[in-house]
Amino acid sequence: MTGYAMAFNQSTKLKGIVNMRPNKGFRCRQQQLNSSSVSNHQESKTSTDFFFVDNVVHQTPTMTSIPAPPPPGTPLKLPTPSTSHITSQPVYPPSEDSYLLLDAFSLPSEIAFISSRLPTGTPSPLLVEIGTGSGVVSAFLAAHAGVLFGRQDVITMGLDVSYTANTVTSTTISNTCSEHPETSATFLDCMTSDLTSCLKPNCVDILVFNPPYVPTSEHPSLSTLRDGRQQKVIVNSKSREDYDMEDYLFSLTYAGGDKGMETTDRLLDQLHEVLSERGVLYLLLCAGNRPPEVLERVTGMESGWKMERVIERRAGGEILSIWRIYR
Amino acid sequence: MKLLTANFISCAVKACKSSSLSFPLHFKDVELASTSVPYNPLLLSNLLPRLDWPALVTSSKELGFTLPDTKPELPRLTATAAATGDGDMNMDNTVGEDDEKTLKMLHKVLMETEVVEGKMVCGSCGFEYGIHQTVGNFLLPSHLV
Repeated sequence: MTGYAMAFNQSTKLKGIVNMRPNKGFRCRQQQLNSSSVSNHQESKTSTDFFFVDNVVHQTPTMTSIPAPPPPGTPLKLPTPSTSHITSQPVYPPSEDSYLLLDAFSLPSEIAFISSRLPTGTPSPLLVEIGTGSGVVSAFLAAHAGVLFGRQDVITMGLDVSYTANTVTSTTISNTCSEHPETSATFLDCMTSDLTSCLKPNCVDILVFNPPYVPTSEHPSLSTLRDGRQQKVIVNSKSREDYDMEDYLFSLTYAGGDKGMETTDRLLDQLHEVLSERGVLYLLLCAGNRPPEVLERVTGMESGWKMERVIERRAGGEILSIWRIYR
Repeated sequence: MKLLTANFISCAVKACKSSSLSFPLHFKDVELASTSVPYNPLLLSNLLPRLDWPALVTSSKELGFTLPDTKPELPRLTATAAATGDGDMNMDNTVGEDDEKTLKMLHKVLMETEVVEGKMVCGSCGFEYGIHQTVGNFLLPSHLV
């Protein structure tokens, strides 16, 4: 077991890792609690199950103590992208956090917000997702652009540090878009990149980030990917080397270091050089990231940033929320 | 990597971002393929205003395509004009034959030309980024971060 896997097992706060293995008990509990708080999207039965975590201490975080926005209405019911082509590639499978993002974009209030930021007739928006994993979020946004953004003249790109994730995501997006030609955007490319470091400054109009947000004692370094051999697609790992790489790639999907914010903080530091003037970042946070502190930080940054909560949901042992950040 | 994507990419080295030489990255040793992408004239007409045309001309040339030196003037399409689909936009009378020819040419070059294998080189620092199976690798080695 690698150090990161150990750090994860010792972590008392969870990512949706428990949800990676569909947990019937969990689902039932959640549905009994509040049926309206359950996502439209279901875990794919074929999604790969990699982590199985026993004896995890569940904390009961409290909901964010920030005033809630007006009731945003019920999310539209749009079909969830299929990820059935993912068999045993080590990518983060569609989980509760992914589905919360889909629901956030499906809220009538969010559809109205985006159409007002990026009205039809203005130059075509560029949508970028960082850390695409399975590609479920990018595929959903690209395939339903006509509904979610009120326009189909949108181009999309996916960025991930994992080459395997990039190849998988390309397939997820292409397949899903071809199923919805009447509403889909134009998907351009997936690229291997640390955050948005390969993009021209200030060109992103919609940026989506479901970060590695679990607070961990160690924060995995990217040096293994940066300085190692050229990445290859990992599927059906057989060798010790492949298994080690799988462990490492998974640590990158969840391990967020101090307060689970080490990667997110790096993005926030550069945000003014990433987003266009009209650009919006959609960011997922868990309660352990201390959203009120993030809010204070973002609104204190130069040039008047706003940070607003779009949706919040209890998922397993954690409270997840999606925030929009813009100038 | 599609040719259009190159219009949004610059060298990942932080010190290069401010240099005009870091954009566009220059294609080298490329292996091209043609990929089928649904024709979307509305997208092309609304994309054109935000594209860096000189960079596009440079990238195209490196891949063996010749674009006009100046950005074509195209009518701004409406969603209804584009909604007629397969390129038959004359119903709206907003696109003449010549404009349609330009749009089709742009579609072929920007959207349907794909670099399967090859390299992209920064004109400022000289770093070479690899493209493998259409996926560009922009993760820098640690000593350049």
